[in-house]
Amino acid sequence: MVAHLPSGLAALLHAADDVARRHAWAGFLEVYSRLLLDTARRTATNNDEAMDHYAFILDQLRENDFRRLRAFGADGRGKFTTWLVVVARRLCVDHHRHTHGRIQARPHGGTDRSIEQITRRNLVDLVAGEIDWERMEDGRRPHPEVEVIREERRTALSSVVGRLEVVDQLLLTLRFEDDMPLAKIGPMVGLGSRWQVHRRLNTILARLREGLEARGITEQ
Amino acid sequence: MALVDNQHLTPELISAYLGQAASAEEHRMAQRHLLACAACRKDVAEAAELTATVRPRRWPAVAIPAAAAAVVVFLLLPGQGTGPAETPIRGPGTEGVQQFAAVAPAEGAPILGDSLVFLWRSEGPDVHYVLTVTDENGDVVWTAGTPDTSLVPPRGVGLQSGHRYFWYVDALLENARSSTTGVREFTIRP
Repeated sequence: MVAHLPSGLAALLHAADDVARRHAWAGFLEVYSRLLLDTARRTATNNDEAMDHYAFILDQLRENDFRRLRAFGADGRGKFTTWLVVVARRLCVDHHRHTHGRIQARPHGGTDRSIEQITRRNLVDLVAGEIDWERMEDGRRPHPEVEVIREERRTALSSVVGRLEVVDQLLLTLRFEDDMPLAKIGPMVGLGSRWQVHRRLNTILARLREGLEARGITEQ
Repeated sequence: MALVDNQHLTPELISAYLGQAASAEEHRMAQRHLLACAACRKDVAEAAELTATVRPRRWPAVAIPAAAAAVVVFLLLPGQGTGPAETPIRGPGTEGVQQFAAVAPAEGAPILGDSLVFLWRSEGPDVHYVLTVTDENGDVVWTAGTPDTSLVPPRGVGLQSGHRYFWYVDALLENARSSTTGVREFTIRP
């Protein structure tokens, strides 16, 4: 697997002595410091915290004769930079958790669960057509009939979604639960461009509508 | 290979998944896990985005085999071999990387610890600079970020008199570009 390592990383992991190791480490920093800094900045709320994260990443990567870096060396598949970002990001999250306690769920106050419910409801509305909720809701409490319809659609939708391929379920999750832009979804599901994601999404939504219609749920 | 570590996808599997180097079974397993794990979805999204937008620099000097690198460094050490003695442990070259000017301390200059100020030319507005100071072993002794073009090391850094240090500044520009001063050195005057 060593043949797949970036040559500089191989030099670091197989350095014959301290001098070669120091030289290789300086080279490693020169090449990857910007990537590590950007990773640190994305997990921090200000510059000081970003620098704190960055220093922590470097300490941890060097620990025990580059133990973490050797983990990639033992596997050696995929891109080293991808692996490095994931490792660095998780170190930052651990460091932040250790320093500040557990990270809050979401910045705008909603819990993961409530946001998930909202986005799932958006998906229900999208595939099953809009209902004039205001007309049907009486004051602050939803009309019982509205609740029944919502629940019916949620149940039906879950069933139809559950029959999709896993990759399509993942695509829906990224789009409607994580609210991720199409361009970011592509690499995560093996699609090359946002247009491919857009087309795939339309196909999936059409299939969901068919599935709901088969269960007697239509836009009317 | 373990595919899940502490209930999350391993970095190795994420790397293989995004690089399309995972086996079909690993691929399916990763997608099933991502479906249920928001933290891993975030990891994968960040890794995909950062590696697409932030290009690592080329490996220059360290691209040679380790043994050869050790010989080169050995030859560059002062009083050993016949190489230039003024550049012992230097960071790798910066071919292909945009550079900007470091102003102070002057290259190789002996400096009083109390008067040490790092100064460099501006690379424009809205630029974030990261200064890194290492000792002769390549160990980072201090690193700091700033939007300004100067930094003064705090007393706690503990630079020792008579010792030689190396420093460089990375400028993080818009659009994920960067430039660097390259590695420079100074000595703390006894």
